[in-house]
Amino acid sequence: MRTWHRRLAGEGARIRVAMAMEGDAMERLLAESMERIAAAGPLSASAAEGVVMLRSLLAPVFGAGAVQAATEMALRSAAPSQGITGATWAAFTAALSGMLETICGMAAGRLVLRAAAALPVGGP
Amino acid sequence: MTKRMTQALFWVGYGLTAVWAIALRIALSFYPPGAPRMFLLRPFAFGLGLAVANTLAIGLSLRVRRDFPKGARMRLAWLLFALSCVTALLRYGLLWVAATRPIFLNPRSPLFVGTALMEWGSLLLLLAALVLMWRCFAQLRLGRLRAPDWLAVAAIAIATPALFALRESGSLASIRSPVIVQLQYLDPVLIACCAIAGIVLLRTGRDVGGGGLTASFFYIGAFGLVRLAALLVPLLPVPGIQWIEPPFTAASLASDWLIALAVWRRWCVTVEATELVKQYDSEAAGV
Repeated sequence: MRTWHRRLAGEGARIRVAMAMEGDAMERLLAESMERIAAAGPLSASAAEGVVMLRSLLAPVFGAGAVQAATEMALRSAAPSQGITGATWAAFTAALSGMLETICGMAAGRLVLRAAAALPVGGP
Repeated sequence: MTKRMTQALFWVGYGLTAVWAIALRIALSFYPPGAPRMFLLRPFAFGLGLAVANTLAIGLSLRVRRDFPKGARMRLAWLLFALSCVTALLRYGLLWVAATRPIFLNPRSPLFVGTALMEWGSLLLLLAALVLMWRCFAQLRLGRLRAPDWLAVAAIAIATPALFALRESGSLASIRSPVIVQLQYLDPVLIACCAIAGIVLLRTGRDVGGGGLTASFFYIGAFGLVRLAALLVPLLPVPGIQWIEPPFTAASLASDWLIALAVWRRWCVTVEATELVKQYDSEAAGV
């Protein structure tokens, strides 16, 4: 968890710098960040870590507040009692995709599903 | 073209239309009604800038609409948004026809009644679209008003009767061209509703927490507040500040560019999401 937190904090700092950049430069930096995370190794993350990673990836595009609100609603609907686990991960991402699709469109919904599928979530 | 450059072009369009509008207002004092004048200084020539802004807004809002599934509330909201811009575009077309043909310059002409009705229709469609959009965000508990927002709403409600007084006193009618009078003949209640919608959308934008959606809400909110401010500024009981009225009037007359900016920023969110999906797909295909 600490390793992931360090990696995401590092990428978050780069993305914050990118927010002041041109659109093309920002997209390039975002793509490089995603490549670096992927190249950092096939670390298996828990579902809770997956939620954190997913939020970090979506917040620059759709806004931190919107992503947080959608995540909380999705968690409540997909994992109301036992919390987020590997077993409820798919249901959670589907719910999050639906929530963001409601306010941001189908492209947003597809992005959630693609990003969630690319994350190495396997643990409980 | 980069995002920053495109945004700058929108602001240039806004600025040029505003300066054009205010230059026409000054020119009205030099040219008697009906006197020949160069194209750029003909009544309502700046409507061309507003037509460009609305054409851009229509195209982009229809594209955003296509990104929502059939039956979605947001899809209907973007359709209403586009229809609002279509109505505004038709109205500017009619005003331009009226302005360029002196025979239509009678303020009692059905043409002016039509344009006044179109303005009502355009603002009502816009309000309906904004309410629908806000309801979608409210489902996620975004855009709930806090105490400062309620204070702003109360201030607008208190200021609205003053706007009625302004209209009844006939100060707007002192402007020489009936076309401009018609353009500024905005119903105070509708303007107040737009300003209140602006407060709600600014709050929603803050709750969204950054990115293109926040920027989009900011511009729509500013649209409502700029129009209200332009009507309230002449009522300020402070002597010696009459110079602030022209910039507010110009900003209000050209404020359709804020709507165009809002729709463009919203469209950018869809483009960014689509590009990222393509990137994931290409990475997945490469593995």
